[in-house]
Amino acid sequence: MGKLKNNRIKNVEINRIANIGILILLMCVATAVNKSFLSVSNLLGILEQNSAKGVMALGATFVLISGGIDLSMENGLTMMAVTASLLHISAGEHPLVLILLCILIGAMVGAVNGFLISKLKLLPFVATLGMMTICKGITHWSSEGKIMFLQSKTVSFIGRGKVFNVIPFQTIVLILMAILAAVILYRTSLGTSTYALGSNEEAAKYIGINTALQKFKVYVLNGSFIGVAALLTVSRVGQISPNLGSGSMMDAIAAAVIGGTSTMGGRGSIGGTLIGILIIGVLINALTFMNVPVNAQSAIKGIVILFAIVADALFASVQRRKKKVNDVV
Amino acid sequence: MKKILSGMLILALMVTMLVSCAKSDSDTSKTQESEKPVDSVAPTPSDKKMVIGMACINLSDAGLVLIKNGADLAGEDFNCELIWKACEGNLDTQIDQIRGFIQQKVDAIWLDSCDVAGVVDVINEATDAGIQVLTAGSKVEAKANYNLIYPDFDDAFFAGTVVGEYYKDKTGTVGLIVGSAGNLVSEKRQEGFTAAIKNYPNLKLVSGMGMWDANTSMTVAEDIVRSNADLLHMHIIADGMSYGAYQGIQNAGAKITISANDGDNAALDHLENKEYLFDNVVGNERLGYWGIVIARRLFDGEEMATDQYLPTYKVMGEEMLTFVKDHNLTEINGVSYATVTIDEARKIVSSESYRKEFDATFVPTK
Repeated sequence: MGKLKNNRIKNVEINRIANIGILILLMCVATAVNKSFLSVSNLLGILEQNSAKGVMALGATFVLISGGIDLSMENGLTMMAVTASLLHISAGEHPLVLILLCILIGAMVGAVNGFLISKLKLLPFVATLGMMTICKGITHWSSEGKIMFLQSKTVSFIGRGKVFNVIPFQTIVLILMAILAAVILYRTSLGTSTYALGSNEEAAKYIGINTALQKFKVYVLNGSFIGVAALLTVSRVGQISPNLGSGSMMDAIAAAVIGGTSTMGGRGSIGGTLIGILIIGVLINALTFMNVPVNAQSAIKGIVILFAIVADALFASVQRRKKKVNDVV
Repeated sequence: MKKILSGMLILALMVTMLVSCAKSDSDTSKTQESEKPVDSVAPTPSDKKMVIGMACINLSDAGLVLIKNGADLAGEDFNCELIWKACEGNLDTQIDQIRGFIQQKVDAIWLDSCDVAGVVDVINEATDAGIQVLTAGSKVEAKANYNLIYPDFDDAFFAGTVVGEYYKDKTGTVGLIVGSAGNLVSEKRQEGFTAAIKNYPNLKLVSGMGMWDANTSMTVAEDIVRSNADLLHMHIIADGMSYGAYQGIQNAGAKITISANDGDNAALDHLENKEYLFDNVVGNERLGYWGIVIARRLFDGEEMATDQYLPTYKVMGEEMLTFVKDHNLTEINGVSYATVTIDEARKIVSSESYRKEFDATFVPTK
């Protein structure tokens, strides 16, 4: 088990070095076109803008490593942000209510997903697709499409505050969540089970892992991370809107995949996902700095994401071939 | 495991109950929803009930929700039953929904089309079956439909021209935040604004896509501010996106002028606080109400032109109003633009006012 994990970590290291290269290249190109790209305010701005997506991507990393997928992430985030904010407003805008409810509702959505997948044996794709629709419905029903503004100063600090007037508070939350995720993934039995589930679920059962319970835990964890992302998103924008978080699922999953997390399960790392979200953030920012026409921006972003997914598939195929050769030898 | 699940179920029930309570409580908090209708101005409903199929792109966008509110109010006022369907931007779904309305033999179809060319055939199917079709927002060239038009291109052209004149003596960049690619309203507003700015070679235009989402618009606004040290102005094509963009501009520490479009109450608050330079009053609820009034009039046998125009108004503070008048911007290239004060704009978008505007004395475009 230990050797298998070490091999995976080696593969992840190769991917990470390549990604750091891509990140540096992107930054060099953007700076060559527009020198203000490298300004401290812009670089900190990129970190702030992508912190919520980063937290979401950390949750997605667990689900993907376990061999699953969560299609309800985006609509789940919106639903958590909208319902928690409505309750927060009706409770007199106490910030603690918003913080706790975002995480609690997130964990609940994750628990329902986990129950459907682990106990009722539904395919993750089908179960989370259903959850996606439910979340969308609850969002529309509870918000009635209205735009409402959050007035609390604490919430505004969570969203746009700067520690020592420099470091975005959101980025500190992302770093803390990344440390938490790394501890869970590399230092607990849940982390080991997550890798085992994604590598070979049957084998995991034979070595005594309660796969149903571990899967359930992975989805609850993912839901909680999305809850934190919902909190960061709604406090940053300072308003409740039924469109909050649009496009975030694509970015979160893409960040994890670009960072070396396999869509087939069994492979991935927290550091890789963080680099992945930086690549996505820098890319989006750089396109604006390079004054790329607005309609071309999404196409370029899509091409980069597709390239990463294709590279992941090719990498997985090479690994499978290598393994076959080793088995024969 | 069972204990955890039971706990989760109880929590789920509690949250659902709390949200229901929050829904009613939060109605009193600060929203951009319009005030409750005043019964004294309600028109007398017609005797014969009319059924209208309402085919929308979606019902989640704040602007479209306001259109729905206005239409629902008109439905009550004019004895119309509205059947709402949303296609979530999918043309095939929209075509199926319109075919469903034809099967249901509704009296009229109100359509917010996701593709102007793609819906022509199914509109012809409906009109051949004797159903009136009213297409909202954009002109659809089918055989016998009615177009409910508000001048997106011209309004955006006005916005671009005002910005151009305002910064005529300066050199710099103007930011534009659009909705999404392929969306007709977004494209028309983008085309109009871009065409106007082209007349001012001292101004460079940079654009970003806000995806109709305040959060994305905020990020885009921040990126535009940080990448253009000489940024003078930011125009956002819809009020719903402009609130996020405004936060982004503040966050990035820029001191620039801002303009938007729609005339929602929250945007009028920004105008009042001198945070926006100007806005364009369409009044989404007013727009929804007007569409149903036209449908009802057609159902009752009134003859009118196939292209119906909803008047829009340019709203700004006193200082800006003087600037617009002094620079003769109330008429550009033969198109006249009506200007109103912030107070007048608030009246125009109120249900009391638009119910009066579209009462029995209202004359549609003949």
